[in-house]
Amino acid sequence: MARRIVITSGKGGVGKTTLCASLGQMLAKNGNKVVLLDVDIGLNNLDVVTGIDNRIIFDIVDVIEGKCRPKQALVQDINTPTLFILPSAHTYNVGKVNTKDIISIVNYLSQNFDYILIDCPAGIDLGFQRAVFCANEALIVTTPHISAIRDANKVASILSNFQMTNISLVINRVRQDFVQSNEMLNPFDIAETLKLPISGIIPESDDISISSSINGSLENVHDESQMAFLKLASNVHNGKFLNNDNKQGFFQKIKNNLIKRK
Amino acid sequence: MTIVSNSVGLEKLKKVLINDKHFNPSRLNEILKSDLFNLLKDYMEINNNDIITKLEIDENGDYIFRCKVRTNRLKMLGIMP
Repeated sequence: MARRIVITSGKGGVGKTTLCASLGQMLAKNGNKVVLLDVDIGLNNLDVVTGIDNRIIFDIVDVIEGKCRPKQALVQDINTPTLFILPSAHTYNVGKVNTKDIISIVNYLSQNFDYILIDCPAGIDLGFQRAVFCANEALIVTTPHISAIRDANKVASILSNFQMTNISLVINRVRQDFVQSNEMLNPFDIAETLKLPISGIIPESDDISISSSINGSLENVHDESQMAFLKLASNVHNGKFLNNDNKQGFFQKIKNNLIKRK
Repeated sequence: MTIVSNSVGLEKLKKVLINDKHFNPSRLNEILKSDLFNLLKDYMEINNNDIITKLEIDENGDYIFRCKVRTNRLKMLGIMP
């Protein structure tokens, strides 16, 4: 049975889709069979971020309408053969989609994959609930900005009503130099305030932005960002979190990087 | 200057989160009260007005649930009703 992890945030634009694609890639490169499920119906972006937008034949609404089987709608990633994407609908067919349909697709895929990563729409309305109902674990993505953290906190409160076995934070777009100079909120202070564990800290990176607008491949991304995604994938896979020891390591790493630059 | 910036940011975040908690559904208090009544009535003679509940938020943003129950008779445990 696959682990079903919803990537959510509340606030839009914090990097859910990019993180979903990158985490999937890392988990797949470690030998896991991974499927990325885009349930952001009508506002599909996972196909663009993963670079499969020109290879889509069927989408999730076609599966629901019985035009094809879930396996036929899956698109295999070119760079990572064990990574598959089930794209969202091209058009705004949200009325045709209900939670039961999505759950039955997830149950079907669950038999053939190790991980199902569910890319959740922004907000906390029906689309969010549809995504969350299918999952039993959640990664809440936030940036170190108060508006995003506030929404992450609200999402965490809502998720506490669901039967989740694991809820953790991923702090995205962290400027390590700003954290070091106390100009940006420290990720561990954020986690302590929200009373949630951290699965990963992803540094701000121009490479990731560029990569996500091409094919989502992490191959040409800066080593530090690759390491951060690798660590996130490892933590997710092993059910571990970053702790105080890592905090020491995190800052030590920043210091080392700064010394190298000088 | 920069150190103040970080601590100010953290304080602002805490204030925002605490403020959000004040907007939690007021029904929660009533539901808690009702559930507590259903639990406690097996152990003591009470009516709904004998339970006073209050949901507060402390300076750390933690909820403090205070409950005061007044009764003049406890039920004898181990004896059939």
